[in-house]
Amino acid sequence: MSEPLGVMQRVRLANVRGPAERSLLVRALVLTSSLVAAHAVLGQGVGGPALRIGVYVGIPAGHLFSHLTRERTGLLTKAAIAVAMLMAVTRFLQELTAIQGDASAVQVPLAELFLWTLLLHSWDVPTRRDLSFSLVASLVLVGVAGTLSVSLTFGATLLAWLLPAFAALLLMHRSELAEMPTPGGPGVRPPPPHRGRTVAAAVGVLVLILALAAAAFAVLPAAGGVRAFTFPMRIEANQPVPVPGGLVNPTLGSGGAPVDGDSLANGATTDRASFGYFGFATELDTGVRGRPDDTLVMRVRASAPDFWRGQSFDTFDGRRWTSTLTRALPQRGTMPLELPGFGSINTGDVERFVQTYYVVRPGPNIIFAAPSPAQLYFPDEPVYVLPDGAMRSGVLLDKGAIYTVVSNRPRHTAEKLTLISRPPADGLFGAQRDRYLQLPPSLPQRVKDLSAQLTDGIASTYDKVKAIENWLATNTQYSLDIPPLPVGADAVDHFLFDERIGFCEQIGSSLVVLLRAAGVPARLTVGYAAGTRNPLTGLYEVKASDAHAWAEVWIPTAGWVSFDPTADVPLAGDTASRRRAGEGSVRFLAGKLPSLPDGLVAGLQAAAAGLGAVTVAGGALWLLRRRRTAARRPWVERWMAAFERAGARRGRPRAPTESARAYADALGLTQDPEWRSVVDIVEREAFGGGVDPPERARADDALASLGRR
Amino acid sequence: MARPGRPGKGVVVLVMLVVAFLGISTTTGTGWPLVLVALLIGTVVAAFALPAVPMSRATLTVTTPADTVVGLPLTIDVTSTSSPMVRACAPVLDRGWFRLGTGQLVVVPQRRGVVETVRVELRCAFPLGLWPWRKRVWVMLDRPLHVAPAALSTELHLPPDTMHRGDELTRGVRPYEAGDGLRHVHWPATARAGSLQVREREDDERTYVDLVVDLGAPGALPEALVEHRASWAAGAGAALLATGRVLVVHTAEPGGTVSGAVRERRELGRRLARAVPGAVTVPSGHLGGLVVDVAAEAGQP
Repeated sequence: MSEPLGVMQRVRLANVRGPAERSLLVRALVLTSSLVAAHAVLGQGVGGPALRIGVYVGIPAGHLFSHLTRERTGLLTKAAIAVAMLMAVTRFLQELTAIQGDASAVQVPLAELFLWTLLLHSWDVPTRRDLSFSLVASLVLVGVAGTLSVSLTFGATLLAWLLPAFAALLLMHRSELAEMPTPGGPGVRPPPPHRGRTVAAAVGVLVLILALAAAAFAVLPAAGGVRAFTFPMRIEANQPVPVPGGLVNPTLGSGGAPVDGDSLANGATTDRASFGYFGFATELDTGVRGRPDDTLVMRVRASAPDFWRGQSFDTFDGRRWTSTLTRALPQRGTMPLELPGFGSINTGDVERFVQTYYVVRPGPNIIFAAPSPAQLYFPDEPVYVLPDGAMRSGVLLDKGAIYTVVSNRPRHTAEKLTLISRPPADGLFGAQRDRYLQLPPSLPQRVKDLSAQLTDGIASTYDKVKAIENWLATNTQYSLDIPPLPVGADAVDHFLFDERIGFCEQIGSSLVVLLRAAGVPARLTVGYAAGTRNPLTGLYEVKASDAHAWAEVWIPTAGWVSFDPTADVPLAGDTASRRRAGEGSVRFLAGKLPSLPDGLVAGLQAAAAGLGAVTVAGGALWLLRRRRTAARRPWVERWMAAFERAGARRGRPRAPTESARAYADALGLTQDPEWRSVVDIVEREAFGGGVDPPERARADDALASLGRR
Repeated sequence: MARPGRPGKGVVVLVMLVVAFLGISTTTGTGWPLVLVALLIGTVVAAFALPAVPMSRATLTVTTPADTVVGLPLTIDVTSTSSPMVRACAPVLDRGWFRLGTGQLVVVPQRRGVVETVRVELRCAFPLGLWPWRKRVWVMLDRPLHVAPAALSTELHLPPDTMHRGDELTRGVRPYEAGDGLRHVHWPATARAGSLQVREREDDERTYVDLVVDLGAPGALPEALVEHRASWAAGAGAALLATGRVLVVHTAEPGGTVSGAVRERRELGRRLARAVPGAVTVPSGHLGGLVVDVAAEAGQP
């Protein structure tokens, strides 16, 4: 009996070098996967020129060297790689100690270390096992690149990696099998596999894997941001704004001056960018017509949708909104900046809501954030905070800027807000309260009468808001195509009683004015709606057309709460606790495809449904038919089939010419008198006149007991 | 029935990466690692499920010669219509792993005995080689394979006159019967008759030798000693047959003692292949003469 192996013997055994991999195709596929993975990481801005050259030249050279020296032990090569690896790790640790405060900055040095590992390892891949390690290393690098990527183009890189990696895995297994002997004969060579069938099988397997992956993606939990501990922030060029704390919006043209609706209505042209929103200015003219286009302006990483709040307006003159809160306070300090909670009430029931903003288009120096921002990770200081909680940067926000906001989002629910009655003092006092109850002197009486009509008798502020929202939803229409505002007309009065058609600025303004008329403090807020969630990147893609205006209403003991009847942004407390990763995938992907004629889409859907129904029905019919066929077989046939299965399980399959008696003899059963009787029964059933049911049952019992032995 | 075996190291690595990417996605909020997680899950599931397809279709037929000797290469015919990605192993024939296919395979049996069924272990990890399935099938041989023991050269201490050939008393000729030695063919008679004729010899108790192959009681002796006795019996029997004598071989088989004349080495090999440890009862009334007791003569290995 052999002695058990010791630890060192096991280690030596595990490191025994296998046979060299001879297939050039396998090596080429692994090399391709490695290069694509390395390129994916380098494309995220990782690594300097030396590393890039090393990767693009060194990895192919290393693979070639490994192939040419595959039969040698290569001790010197291993020693050199070990030394180089030590140097890479030392450098990584040095960079790690230089990082202060920002955990997200570790991603880049870590990615570089992985690249060095792949590069050095490529010089010692003689065997199939080494090539497998390279494949795994490339998978890790693809994961690193995916972590750093925020765009959909990474999908193409992923596909470019997946195809050669999958093919390499397939061929490595075939290569392993090819080393085994195969039955042949003197001078007989095994027939080569049919190439067409091999490719067809590979394609079929890949399609199956992708289908399974899609199903898995649909049920995986969505990427979360709540527990994130890496908060990226970056800015490419620090170009300060002309007036510290002032608002600058280069997308509006004309030096960023507010857009005048009357001028536009009279045919004046503007150099406003197509993605510029007129609300991101010091005043908002509700007479402006035309909306920003669908240009992508930013991406937001967040665990749930919300309003990405920009700023608010508190004074309405019947047409224009302005703000009296213009004094911005500079905030400085180490990141994260602790923000003063202007206008927030700490209700205790809050959730930490992290949003990271990736600027795609240059825009206003507004720092967007979900309501109740508490901390800010911004790559420049100072940051200017206005009394209404709005934030502005001291530099222009160009493409590539990244910042992170942590909000303490109150978990409002409709039920909780409904239960809050209006106490004698609702938390806003004096000038602050008056500011948010301001109405233009020229406001027509019928607007006030409408407000009274809708809210009289309702105690809860929340219910008042919902009553006005419901009236607006029932009696007005949302449309981007509305006629110009008549000169001198009150925008709210015109919308509520004359046109009854408008977009978010009209609807939001109407809600604010009606609430103020009912004695409820409210203000008009502008920013972006949540945007469309990209299920692959996990980011909300915010377009210029998502620019939005909505109402913020002061609810006693709850603080400022956003309301908007036109955008679908649920209350934080009503949001589902955990989304699925694939949620919205079909809608998102359908939106990326060119629009198809409705008839064709309907036809495809019907065809798919029909095919599915036919498949299910066909499968069911096949199963039913199979069962019926089995049930129609004579009893003796079924008994013999079961007897054969039982015998095979005992290690003695039945020869085709073996009778039941001979088979029972071979199994040693006929020494038992009961089995001799059973064999008699079977023979009489098969060749005689048949047997009675009790005898059949006896034979079945004997067979059952044989199966249990 | 085919069933999945233990997952390969590749699956363990992939599962670890799934956990790692899930953690990365959770802590950084990035979406692409989740896509990778989904792809890895799809790969693992496919690697787990797909081998069942070729395994379920694997068929195997093995045809062997009727006789062989321990340690000698034996060519067997293998017929299979299965995917070449299925591997097979036949431990009973001491055959390592080979890919299924149709053709001939050389095996080297290491154990004496009668092989009626061949246990074949099938494995398949189609197509990615990550998670092998295994299946044990019993392949029925169309005829039993008798693996005779390797003959040991022996020194028999026999009376001198029993070692001489010839001095046979020919009584007449008779038609050839299976088992008759070629040296007994009477060629002139054959030429006259047109069919093989052999000498019919006078019974002479010196022509018969009883070979008692006692392999000990079941489980009483170590296997090495049992096989040594069988090999010694093979060598002694071959030597005795070479003297022109007829052996009456007494062996124990699963059904009891078997005694019968053996006229050629192939027959001797088959009898020794079937022999098992057990009581050997020499029937009374045998012709007597020389008795070779293997248990007494074989000694130790």
